Amino acid sequence: MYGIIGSAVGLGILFLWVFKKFKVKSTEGKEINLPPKEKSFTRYILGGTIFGLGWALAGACPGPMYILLGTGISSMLLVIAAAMLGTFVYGLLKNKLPH
Amino acid sequence: MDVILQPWPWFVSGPLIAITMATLVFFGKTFGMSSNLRTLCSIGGAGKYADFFKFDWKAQKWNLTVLLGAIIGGFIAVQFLSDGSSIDLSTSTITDLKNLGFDNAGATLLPSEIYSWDNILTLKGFSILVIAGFLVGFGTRYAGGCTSGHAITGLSNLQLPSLIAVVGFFIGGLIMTHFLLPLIF
Repeated sequence: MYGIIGSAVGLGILFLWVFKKFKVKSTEGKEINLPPKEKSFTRYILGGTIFGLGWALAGACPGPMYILLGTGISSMLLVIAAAMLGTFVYGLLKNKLPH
Repeated sequence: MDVILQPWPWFVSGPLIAITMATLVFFGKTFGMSSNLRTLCSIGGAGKYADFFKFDWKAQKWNLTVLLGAIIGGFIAVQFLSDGSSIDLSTSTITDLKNLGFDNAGATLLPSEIYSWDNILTLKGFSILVIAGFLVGFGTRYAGGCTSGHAITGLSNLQLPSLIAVVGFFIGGLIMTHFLLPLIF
């Protein structure tokens, strides 16, 4: 697992560096420039930890959920529906949560 | 052919993930799977309840297409690129899981102790998946991204917020694995 994420990020850093270094334009004609994430600590550490709890319990994060559904694990639909509910509740509470 | 049909080693799958990210960026998009959950909520009419869901979801159709591709990819991997061999988990992981009550770890992609319909139709089994999914959906939007948006794209872009979020992912993951899972199972 660490090999997968490590090699993905290592190569990812190289790709994005090359894009920026050589001012590669995307197919839509714009210079590639990923929008920086807003600066904060609270939302990332709290949200990240909540995500991590669910990640380890479900054994899947929001990408693999669909992949696993495709492999024929139909019960993943329940997890996806619950994840939509979680996102919906976040949307309701967004203004009341510390960010 | 055998090499293709067996589970692919990390040094193949990891770079493939990076290529996925770079391809999306090259086409002027980003790699962020969890954004689809917000889009799906908006399509379902959640904009009536919170401004967070009032946005032009049609502009996100490309990401729903990525989602569809992920489903198709999973189907192809299992139907055509798999010979049914076990996932190459470490022996200690298999022993740990067996102690928790999970037999045959690695033989299937997900444990039948959690994902078989027989288990889901029990109160405990149902609650586990609903709570797990809820935490993923809530946490990922709170943190502004998931494994693809923060751990792959954000870290590749050397963003401190993404590093904080990824530290959070592992705090939550380790708490669940080492403290909560033994209590649940």
